[in-house]
Amino acid sequence: MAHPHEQEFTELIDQHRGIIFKVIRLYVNHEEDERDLFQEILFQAWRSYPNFKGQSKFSTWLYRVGLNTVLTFRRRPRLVVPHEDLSVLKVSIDERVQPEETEALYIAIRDLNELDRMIVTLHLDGYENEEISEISGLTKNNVAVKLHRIKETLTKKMKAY
Amino acid sequence: MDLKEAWKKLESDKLSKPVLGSVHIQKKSKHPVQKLILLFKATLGFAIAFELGFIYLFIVSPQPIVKVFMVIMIITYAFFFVLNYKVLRNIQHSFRLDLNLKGTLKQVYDNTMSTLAFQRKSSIIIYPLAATAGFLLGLSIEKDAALMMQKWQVQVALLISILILTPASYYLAKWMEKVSYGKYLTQLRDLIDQFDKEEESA
Repeated sequence: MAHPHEQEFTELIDQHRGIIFKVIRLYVNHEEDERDLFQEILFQAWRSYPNFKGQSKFSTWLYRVGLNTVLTFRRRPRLVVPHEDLSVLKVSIDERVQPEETEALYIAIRDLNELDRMIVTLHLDGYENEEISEISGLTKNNVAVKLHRIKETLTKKMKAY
Repeated sequence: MDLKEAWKKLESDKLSKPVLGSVHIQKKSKHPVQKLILLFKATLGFAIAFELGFIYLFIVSPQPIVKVFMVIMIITYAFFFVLNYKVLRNIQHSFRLDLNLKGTLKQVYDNTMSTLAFQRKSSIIIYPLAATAGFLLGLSIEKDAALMMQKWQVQVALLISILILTPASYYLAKWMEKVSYGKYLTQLRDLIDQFDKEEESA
């Protein structure tokens, strides 16, 4: 028999599944792992759903579950290959073809370590430093300092492209 | 184009691309903490099986000395069952991925590590008792165990068994702990270390 809240949860996930896609696209680039991670995020969200009391928006809550899941999920070694994308970029530069700024940003973000990636994506999505600190467990000052450095790095890389 | 603008475009161009898979909640998880939870559940299962075995031996064994050691084993296993059950409940309760990640992971990691360390230390007392219980049980099959224990040769044999079995069991248990819990705990430790390193470097 289905859980009484299962349908409600499924509907909410259906409405906000774009958030899960975004998290997965930022951290994983293999179809099988994408599927695994999608299921894992659903599982963890469902597990934590009884604790969701609506203090924050469902989208914010789901974003947090997604990022926290992806950071602790045991992925296969082949996934930790952010430099693979950079080689594509080098080819573009060599061929004097300017990559799109968005593509450059994507590659630059993927080249960050996982924690920095989490911090900057939350920031770019409009989260305040205090919220980022709450989600990640880093101090607010730490988030601010790191964010400053990350943004500098990203801007530099994008200009270089 | 500034970062936020580029991000918005990136979101709509690339990050919103759907991932294959349906919104169907599976009951299985590959998450390392979920695996730790499963291991604790398995430990509880084994504890129940052993407990039932000891209770059975307590009932069928006619010799009081064997019954005494079976009672010791029953109490010991009951204690470890309760301990593991409490840790399991604690991990299940504290492991929430909608909360502060570092705090959650640290709690799960510290809880598991301290329980395993406690079990390892207590095993130094428990293994000799378990070895004695097994020894007496073996003796009781054909002879009076209490009577046999009065012979010095039997006492020496018991002492040798304890001296061999205690360290052997200790290292076997430590190896099994490493094989079963090790990889998941290492993964959690690495992640916590990464958080700590990031905090120090800022």
